Amino acid sequence: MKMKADTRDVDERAAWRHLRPLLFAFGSALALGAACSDDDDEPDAVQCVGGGAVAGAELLHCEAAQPIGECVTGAVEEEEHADAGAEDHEHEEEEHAIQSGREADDDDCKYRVRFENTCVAVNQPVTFTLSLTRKFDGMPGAGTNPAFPEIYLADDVSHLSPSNDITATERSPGTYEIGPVVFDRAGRWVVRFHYFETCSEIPEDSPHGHVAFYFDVPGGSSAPAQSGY
Amino acid sequence: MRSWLIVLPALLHCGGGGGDGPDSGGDGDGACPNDLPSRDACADGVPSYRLDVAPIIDERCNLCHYPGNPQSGLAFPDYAALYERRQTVQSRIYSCVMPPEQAPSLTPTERGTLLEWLVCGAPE
Repeated sequence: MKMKADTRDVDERAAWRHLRPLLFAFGSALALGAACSDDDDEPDAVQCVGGGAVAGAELLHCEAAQPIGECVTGAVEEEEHADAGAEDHEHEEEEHAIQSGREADDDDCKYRVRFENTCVAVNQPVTFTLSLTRKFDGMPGAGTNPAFPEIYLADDVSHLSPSNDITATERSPGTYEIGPVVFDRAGRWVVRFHYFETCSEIPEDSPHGHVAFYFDVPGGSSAPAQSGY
Repeated sequence: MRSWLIVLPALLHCGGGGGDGPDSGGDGDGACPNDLPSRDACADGVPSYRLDVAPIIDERCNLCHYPGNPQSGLAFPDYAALYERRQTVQSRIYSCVMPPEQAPSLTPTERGTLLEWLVCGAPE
């Protein structure tokens, strides 16, 4: 009986000798993987100290959801150009209100728009995660290419974000990562998201759309107190 | 030795970075320049709306941005109309959204003139 137990101990020790390097290797691999993960780099690089969406109630402006049709692009008929009088402002695009918070109906009541953002600091790249949902059928706003947001200081519209290499990656239908966006000053900014930018905005059911949000960048004395969502 | 065979893939993975998923916009080939003028240049003189800016707008923008165009809700028939939408104009030119691909593009000089005028407050 004792001899059987001794044999088992020897077997276990031998097995442990073989397993130990493998366990060490797996452990090392896991540690290295965690240390070099790209996904974890950015949040660690900047400490989040406020900023981002501005607290405030959504400005409600939609009575009904606007159905979305086909994207219309293409040349303009010469005839129409000739007929267009200087006084014809029928299709003139209106200015729209800028929203507080991080969720709102877009300007034409086509999409429900929500955004998240990575940490905000002056001269640090920020990535926005934008989610679009079509209001009339609840489907994701997919394939919209929202890679060209307008980004400017709220009290100085000629001061743009210097970022000119922004990309939009659709991570899942209707959800986009947009960035890198650099804010080169502290203060209140406006971020206007655009989607289906190449489609004419004239047809009422054009998929083209936009919505603007206030966005605070902390730092310096100009950072508003009522920020950070 | 066997240990390193397992660790190696983890090391190789570190160099990867990004590249997944289709990117869009932003001209990954660097075709749209980061050339937003500094306000410091405004002290040396600002382009004139009438002499410098209006001719470019007429030639490059008003092909499409005329009142009543069924393709665009923005029209720039005069200074007031352009000034009112100067932020959108500046943003769209700087990000190379405008002029669109199918339209004649701005020359570097034209682009520089428009951006400088806009950065300097778009004076009349």
